Amino acid sequence: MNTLENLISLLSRLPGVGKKSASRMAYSFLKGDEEYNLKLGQSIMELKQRIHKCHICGNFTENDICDICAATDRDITFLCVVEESQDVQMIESTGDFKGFYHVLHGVLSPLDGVGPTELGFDKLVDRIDHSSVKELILATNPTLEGDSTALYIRHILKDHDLVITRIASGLPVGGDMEYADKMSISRALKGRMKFSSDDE
Amino acid sequence: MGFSSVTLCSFRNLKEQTLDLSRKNIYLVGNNGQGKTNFLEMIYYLCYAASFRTKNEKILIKNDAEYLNISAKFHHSNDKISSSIKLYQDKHQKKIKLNGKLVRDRKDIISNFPCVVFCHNDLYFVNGSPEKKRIYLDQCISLNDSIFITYLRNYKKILKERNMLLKNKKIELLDVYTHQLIETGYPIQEKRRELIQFLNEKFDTIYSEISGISENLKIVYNSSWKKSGKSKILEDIWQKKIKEIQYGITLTGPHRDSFSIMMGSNDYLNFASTGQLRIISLILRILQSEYYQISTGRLPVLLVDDVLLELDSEKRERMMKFFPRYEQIFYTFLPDDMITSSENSITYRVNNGLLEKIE
Repeated sequence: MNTLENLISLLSRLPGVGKKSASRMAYSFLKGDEEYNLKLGQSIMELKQRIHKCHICGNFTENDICDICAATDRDITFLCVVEESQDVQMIESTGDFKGFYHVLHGVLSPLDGVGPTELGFDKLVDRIDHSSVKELILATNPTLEGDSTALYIRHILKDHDLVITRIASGLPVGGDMEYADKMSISRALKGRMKFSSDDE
Repeated sequence: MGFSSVTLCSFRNLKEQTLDLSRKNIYLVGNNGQGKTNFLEMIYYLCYAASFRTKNEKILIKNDAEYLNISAKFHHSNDKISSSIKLYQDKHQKKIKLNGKLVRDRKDIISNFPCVVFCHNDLYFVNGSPEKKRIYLDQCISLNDSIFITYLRNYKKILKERNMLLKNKKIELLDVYTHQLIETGYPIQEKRRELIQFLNEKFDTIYSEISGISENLKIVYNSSWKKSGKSKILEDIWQKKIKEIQYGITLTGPHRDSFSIMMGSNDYLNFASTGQLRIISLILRILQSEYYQISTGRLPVLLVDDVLLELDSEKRERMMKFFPRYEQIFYTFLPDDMITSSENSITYRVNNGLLEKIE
């Protein structure tokens, strides 16, 4: 295998990248600016050296403790559990949540060998024991695995003095019922809420 | 209308050919082993991208061929335009194209051209293993309710994970997966019970009219969860925990359920003759077609494979009175059978995989 073929095969392992896209990328590197290639290579190399998991929440950061955990103006009574670091970014981009996070880096999947030990739930329990969290928001995805993970967390924390909530699931806002899948509509119906004004 | 034409290549023993199917009644006449059932299987395969005879779809490909290829045009009388479906299968993969677009999930074509097959093996729905009986129930519901397929898939996945936990004695996660087992299994049971309620509305009346005897039969769902209500079921499973860990397997749930045909408090299986069992299996198929028709407002395509031959002529005639309405019917006959052809029918002679129109 020559250098070009090797690069194509490596690129095509990336998520969402097929053989064709990988080959287009490789040729673009070959024809493109050398400085750009160098910067890109360097960034990839530095990624693992510089970025690691936050000691407190598990989110990716360049420091010992991530910016969110280090912030002093956030509400310590709320803790939100998510599957991946990307989920933190997504929730942060809404600007609606001012509490703290806990990133699991996965979900329960016994068949794939992912159990409670792999996801480090003891760390989560320990964190709750040593903080003033009053509400724990379980924001794992509304999939079978995400639901199982949320159920397990509820189970291990059942004796704690804590409100445990689950993020709502159902229809996407601005979405069209026509294009929603039946399972989402069914879940949206089951999870319907009383429609009243705030001052009632 | 139904299927108007089909072009097939390398499906079982059938010869490469394009066939006109543009009539409501399609009759296939031929001796045994000529390809009549293979043809019905091919139509079934077009409807569901699966076979009613085998789970190993590779054997559908003709012996010396690398792949099979079928395409067909279908026009449902409720729809304004016709649809086209193409199926390709080789030793590694299957591709389905509906109106030129690739279909990723088989579930997405099931409701487009639904068919109900009447075949010899239907007898297993009556006297076969619980698994066969569950297949009947689940098939009836899946035809018009694609959420049910998701329920089944989710349940299967949770069951597999729960069994793995039990086998490897990973008890700490058992609570969660028991909860999920009930959450995913409960709607399956609810749907099956609804179906059985529907079946019971007509089952006994049709049976007494066809068989000529009144037995007061009732279909009863046998749930392996003996309690009703999620919390009671949870308690019940909890009590079996030690046994489950010992066996390393999930002992109760929709995957262990079944149904029985009851005469009073006795299982009718212990009293019925082979002919009577055959009548019951036919009624189950008739009611499956009606259930589909009532819940979707559409008529199914029927595939009838030799099953009426086992009945005497009087019962056969009575059976025909209850035959469900259909979009199109495919019927197999032996060469000696009397066929009344009409302008509404096309008759094909099936000989060594080749179909020839008989004018």
